Amino acid sequence: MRAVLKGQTETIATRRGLERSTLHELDDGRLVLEHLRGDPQAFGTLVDRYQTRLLNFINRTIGDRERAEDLVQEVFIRVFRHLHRFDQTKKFSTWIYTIASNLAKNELRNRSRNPLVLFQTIKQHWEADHRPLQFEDTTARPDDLYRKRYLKEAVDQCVGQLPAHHRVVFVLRELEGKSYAEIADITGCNLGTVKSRLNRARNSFAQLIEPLLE
Amino acid sequence: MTCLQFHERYSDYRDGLITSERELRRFQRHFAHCPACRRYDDAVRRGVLALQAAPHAVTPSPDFRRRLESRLARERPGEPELPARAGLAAALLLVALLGLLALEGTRRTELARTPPLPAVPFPKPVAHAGVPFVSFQDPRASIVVGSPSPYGAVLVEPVSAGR
Repeated sequence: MRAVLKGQTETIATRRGLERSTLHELDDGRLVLEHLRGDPQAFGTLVDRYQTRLLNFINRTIGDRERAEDLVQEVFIRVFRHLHRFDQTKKFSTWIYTIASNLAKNELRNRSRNPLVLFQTIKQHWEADHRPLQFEDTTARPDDLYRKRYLKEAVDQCVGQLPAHHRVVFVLRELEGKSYAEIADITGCNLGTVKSRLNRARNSFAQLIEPLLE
Repeated sequence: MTCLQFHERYSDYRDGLITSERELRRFQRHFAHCPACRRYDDAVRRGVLALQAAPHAVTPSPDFRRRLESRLARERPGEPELPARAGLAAALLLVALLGLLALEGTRRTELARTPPLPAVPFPKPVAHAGVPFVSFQDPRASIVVGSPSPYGAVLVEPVSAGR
């Protein structure tokens, strides 16, 4: 009897695993349809697909990892609430990034009114920058470690120094690979503005990073 | 091509939007003759490569999904997430209701044992000429006299009238 029950449980688990792997192969549009049809796993698959990307996008935009995580949660809650109204002729990624971009913009707007929050964020980043190197890759030489870490931090800092409206466009284009049209939809700007901001962002970025690459 | 023209069209060049061979050759020639613009292009490429090459700078915290699922559970219709206190309150209410039902059951048993009250006829309405225009009197004491009024009312004299 136990063997039969165990067998049945394994079959159900295998079936669920297969269903999950099948869902992971579907594109965003199909996952949305499956969710609206009542598949309980479909929304979780969308979360798996976008949680890290959105977290990095929002983190780079607002510069606060903890707050970025809260905002990513808020993005998924809003998507869950309004998915039934999503226009399925449009790209899902554009929609979810638009929500994320708007939340990040609101966060920056609120922060500009609260200098204390900005100071605490800067302090937090300062502490994170001074952790010891010995806990990183121990197989590489120390000067290589330093150079890699230095370059990574330098590049991150350069992106962080860009004005917010340039930074968003720069990250969406260079890191997320969005097209100009998608960036225009996400940020609510026209194509000309996107191109102009991207050009300025690249210009600023190059000026900031060039001395550090010597 | 001047440096100003180069910078104005750099994004189009970088994003592969320049398809004209002639335009592309102009860019290549400018790279060959302008070290400043060549360094500029190099800085952008290497900087972006460094950004892209780094693994995702941050990953969600270990309890991210648990917190999200908890919030999503509250959003799902028909599946509200009840906090422990609400569950306890619901259990206590159920126990109280069951207790009341049991009590009601014992009362009904007691009532079943008591002798029934004698049947009382429904008191008849009595119309009066003055205030109060209608009252209810014991039907055993009422005497119906006179003919019905044009409006269908029956004038009834109470026993206490003594007529």
